[in-house]
Amino acid sequence: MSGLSLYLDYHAHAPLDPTVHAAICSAYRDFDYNAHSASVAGERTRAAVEAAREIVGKLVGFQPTDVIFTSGATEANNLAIKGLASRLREVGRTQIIVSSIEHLSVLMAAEHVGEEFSVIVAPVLQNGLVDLDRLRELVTEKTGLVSIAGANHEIGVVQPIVDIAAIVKPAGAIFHCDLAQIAGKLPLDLSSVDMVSVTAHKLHGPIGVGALCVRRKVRRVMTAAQHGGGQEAGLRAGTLPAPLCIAFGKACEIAAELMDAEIPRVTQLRDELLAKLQTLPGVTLNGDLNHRLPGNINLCIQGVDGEALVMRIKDRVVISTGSACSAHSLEPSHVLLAIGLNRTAAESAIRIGIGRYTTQKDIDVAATVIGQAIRDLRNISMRLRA
Amino acid sequence: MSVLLEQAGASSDGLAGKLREIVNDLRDEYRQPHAVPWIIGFSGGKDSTLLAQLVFEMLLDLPPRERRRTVHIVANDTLVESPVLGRHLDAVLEKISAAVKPLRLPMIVAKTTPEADQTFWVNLIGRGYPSPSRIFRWCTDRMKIQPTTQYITDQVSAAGQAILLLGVRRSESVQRRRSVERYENGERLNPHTTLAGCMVYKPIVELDTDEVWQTLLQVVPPWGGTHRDIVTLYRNAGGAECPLVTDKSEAPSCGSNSSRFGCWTCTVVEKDKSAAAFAEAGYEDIEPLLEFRDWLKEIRERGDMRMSKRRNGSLNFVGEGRLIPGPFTLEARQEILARLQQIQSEVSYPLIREEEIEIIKQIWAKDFSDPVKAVANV
Repeated sequence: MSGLSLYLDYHAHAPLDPTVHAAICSAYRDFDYNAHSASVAGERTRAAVEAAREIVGKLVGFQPTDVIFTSGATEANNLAIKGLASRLREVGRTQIIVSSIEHLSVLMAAEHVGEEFSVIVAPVLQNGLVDLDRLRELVTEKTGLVSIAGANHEIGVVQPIVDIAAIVKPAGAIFHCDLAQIAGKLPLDLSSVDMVSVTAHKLHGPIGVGALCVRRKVRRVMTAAQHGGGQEAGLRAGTLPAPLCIAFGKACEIAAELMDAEIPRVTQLRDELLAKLQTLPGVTLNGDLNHRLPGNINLCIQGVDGEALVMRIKDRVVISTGSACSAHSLEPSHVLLAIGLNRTAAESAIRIGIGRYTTQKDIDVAATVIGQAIRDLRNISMRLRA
Repeated sequence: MSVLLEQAGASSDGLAGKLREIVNDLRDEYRQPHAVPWIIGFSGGKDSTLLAQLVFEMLLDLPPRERRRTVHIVANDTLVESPVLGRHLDAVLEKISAAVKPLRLPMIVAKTTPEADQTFWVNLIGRGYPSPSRIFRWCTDRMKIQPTTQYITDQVSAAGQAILLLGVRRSESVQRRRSVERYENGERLNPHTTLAGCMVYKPIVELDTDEVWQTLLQVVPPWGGTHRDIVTLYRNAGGAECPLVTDKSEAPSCGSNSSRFGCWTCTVVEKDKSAAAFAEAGYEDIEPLLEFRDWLKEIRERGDMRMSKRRNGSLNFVGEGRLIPGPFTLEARQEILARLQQIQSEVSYPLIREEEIEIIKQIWAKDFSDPVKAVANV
């Protein structure tokens, strides 16, 4: 990944699986055709793409026809929200509910959906779980869409999707889940979810491909985000990048195969690193430990600036302070503020992502390097005294 | 009482130790038994910001009665500063100025600017100087060195001597390393290469870039706010800045490919990478400036926009009789001004001052035989 540095930033990107790498290389050789053309090669390519579509759908419990390939989760989230706007307007359900810790692609898409829509932000509890009581109060007959991620991209908290669906569905609203972080990491019951967003590169697939999976009834009332040749059920025009789609399918297949074994292994490594870091004074975990992605750690480190820590260890261990999608801004994370941290605490936070290729030795090294950096940075702290 | 370096004594950490040594060194120099003022060259970039912070911290550690020597914080505004850094610089200077009195610090905050008849626009549009290049870099001296030099000279005249504190670092670049080594004399203070009575002090010369960033992120500015603003700026521009300049040898990065936060008009660099990065990062009002800079660079090579004679009336040949063109023609100067004013109407801040336009008009009237035509076209 990043030269000789130890990579622990799996929430930003999960390194390409070697098998997926082989699949994408052979796909560029064998399926370098337009999957929409009527030629023999085109048909062969289309068949390979359709096989991949089936695997992607299967991973999240959707039919192959429900799968609309996109460029990634950001596009999928935008399509989910903007593609429904016209229908929601028609039926007078102009209220959209999102949680306060959603990814920016959901928050910004909701903000730009149109003036006639009101966007309501559902609060989360201090542990990062959506406040179900407040959600119950917020969902009304005016609610058209509720979008809540399956797992948070910073604090890794896994939401009670079934419980949320039990609030949203009886009210007649559509339920969308951004699964960018959780797909292929934990088993999910998505039977009551209408739409989900997934992206390949968070599950060891290639960057540049993802999907919005939409149940038929909802798909039928959606409008296209981009127009052209009518591909992807008329909702996402444009020639499919067949090799990327095929590799995405392979990544989903591997994720499904390995999930049962990866969950306990990654969880154990995560818990071990967490325990080691929490032996240091002033280190606290953000978000609920019991409802959490196996590989996620998000910590506040008293007396340390998170950015300084990330920078100090960057040649040895790669971690981050939060979402790479907002890395150009050093404003404190909206997720951490939403769970009640103050600015100083939020600026002291780091995010660690453990995954498929993390080893026991990596955990030992990371604990030593991070621990030493925390001590070093505390040593250079300066402050103004009265 | 002010700060410092918690537990640093017990640490094996090199950075905490280095910082402690720097502050100790600053204190020792400041406590010397004389009244020679300090002048901190402040560009608003990361290095001079850290330097200012360390000086603040050192002073705050001293009892007020021992804060006897005046410390000037001097920034230079070329009047064509990159607007993003320019805004940051003004904001920081304002905060520092506001903090000086309540903190009982013997500090004077000053901003120097070029003489009105030596600004970038007066020379380029008024006198028709071709856009600066590596060969004809007329800007640095007029816009950076002279204003700052004047300030330092004034302090030397008043106090007999001055000590100039610069945030230069050996590891900034190969050029910088050479420049530092060339003037090293093994002492804390080195005589300034051109300014008599001025000694140069480089307290953070041994820090590396990561150490500067880590320290800035880890500490709170004594003047309030946070250093995260400057980290964001650099992250969006991805590079180094143009430092405060008092001598050409002290400014190897000015107008070089490594300079990022310099003048928005800089045509010495091939491409203004920081402006391009800022535009990419969403600073929409940078894009028109970037286009204008590229155009200024391009027209330097256009023979039809340059006069055949130099300003002194002579023809200048090189090699086998190739004519070196003179300044921009009157028409070219008029077009530059018109385009500049057009760009100014697109952005939310002034690019040229009325005072400069007045001087430009006067130069045109003097330079061209039909002054009425020259002036009427403005």
